[in-house]
Amino acid sequence: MNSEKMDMATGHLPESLLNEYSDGRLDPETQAAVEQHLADCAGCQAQVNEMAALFQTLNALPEVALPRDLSAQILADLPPAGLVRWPSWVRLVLAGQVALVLVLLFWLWPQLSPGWTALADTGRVLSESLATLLPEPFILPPLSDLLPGAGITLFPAGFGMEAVLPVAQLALLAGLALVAWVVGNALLLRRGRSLLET
Amino acid sequence: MTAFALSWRGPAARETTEPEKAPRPVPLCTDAELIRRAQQGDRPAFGELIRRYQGAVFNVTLRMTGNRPDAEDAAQETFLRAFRAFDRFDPDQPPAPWLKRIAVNVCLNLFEARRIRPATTESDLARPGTDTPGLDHWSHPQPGPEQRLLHAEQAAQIHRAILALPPHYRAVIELRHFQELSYEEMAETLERSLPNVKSDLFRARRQLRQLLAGPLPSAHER
Repeated sequence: MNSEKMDMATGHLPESLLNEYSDGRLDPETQAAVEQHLADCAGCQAQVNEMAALFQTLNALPEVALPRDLSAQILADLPPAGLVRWPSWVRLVLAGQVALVLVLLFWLWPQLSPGWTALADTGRVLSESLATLLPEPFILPPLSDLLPGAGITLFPAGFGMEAVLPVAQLALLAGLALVAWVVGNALLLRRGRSLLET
Repeated sequence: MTAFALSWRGPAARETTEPEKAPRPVPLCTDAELIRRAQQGDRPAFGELIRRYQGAVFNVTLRMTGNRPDAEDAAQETFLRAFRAFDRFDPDQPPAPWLKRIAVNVCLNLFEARRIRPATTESDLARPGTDTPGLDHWSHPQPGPEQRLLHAEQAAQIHRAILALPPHYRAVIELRHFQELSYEEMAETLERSLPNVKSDLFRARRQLRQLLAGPLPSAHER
């Protein structure tokens, strides 16, 4: 046996090796070397004997009778058929997405194209109402501040600032957002499902 | 020493009481058939599976928690968790090992969530409301009442020693010695690295040997 497997200070085998020997986990060569050492080392042999006695003691522990039938209670606690109960954090993230969509709606609605005048008017009223409720730091800037460039002129925003948004950029932004949203939710639901199963 | 009526319950035997609302009886069939039917939404079939394995699961949770009410709660949670994951279980595999692994993780989760407190001392085991198995449950079918009482005492001592271990040590002892999992299977079950699991197992055994060699901690000695 190589010196790495023996404690050179004490001349004994490490406890981990004796454990693995007792579990039958050693390769044949190492096992033979351990057994050769045990033949000459009373201390290590005593440890192995203690281990064997412990294993026997644990194996002898009898089982306890279940005092009552749990099946009726468990069946009653099962979710209704067809209902999937996601982990709470999954539901929280989905609720957060709904809230985010609503915030974006209130933000973008006033900035719609002239063809959607009626809807934009309604959106502007709603956003102005919301603006009176929110403190100034929370009021979102117009989209044109984030995406400058030539393009179609959108309906004046509810905050009195004109929004100019390139169609191509808008389409790209919307497409990327949609892809990210779909992929993100797929991963989220997959993770949530795996948690349901554990 | 109070005399108890000693009776032995074999590992596969269990006593059940008639539930107030008995579920629809399921014709006798194999575990694989029951599992397939349960996976298709047959709840009475799942109920039959519960009745077949609730005893084994209960013993796992009892060894982990140390008292009957918590063990029953954990056993129920085990089957609920198994139900949620059932559609991905291979019906041709024996369900008992899978259920027992879930039971260990349920107990560890419950300890972490502090919904149940792992009993660690005799005072915990004797606290009001607990229902720790008495000596009459830890008995062997040995001839003679003295022999049976001796074995019952030994079993109770072993149980107390296991409960004196930290939860993660209890888990490795349960998985290795009562569920006979390999090191790799233990690591997979507990979602921990192989070296960590082996280290925990070896330390748990060392601690158990020390506990069984000397007096177990009690409220009087603290």
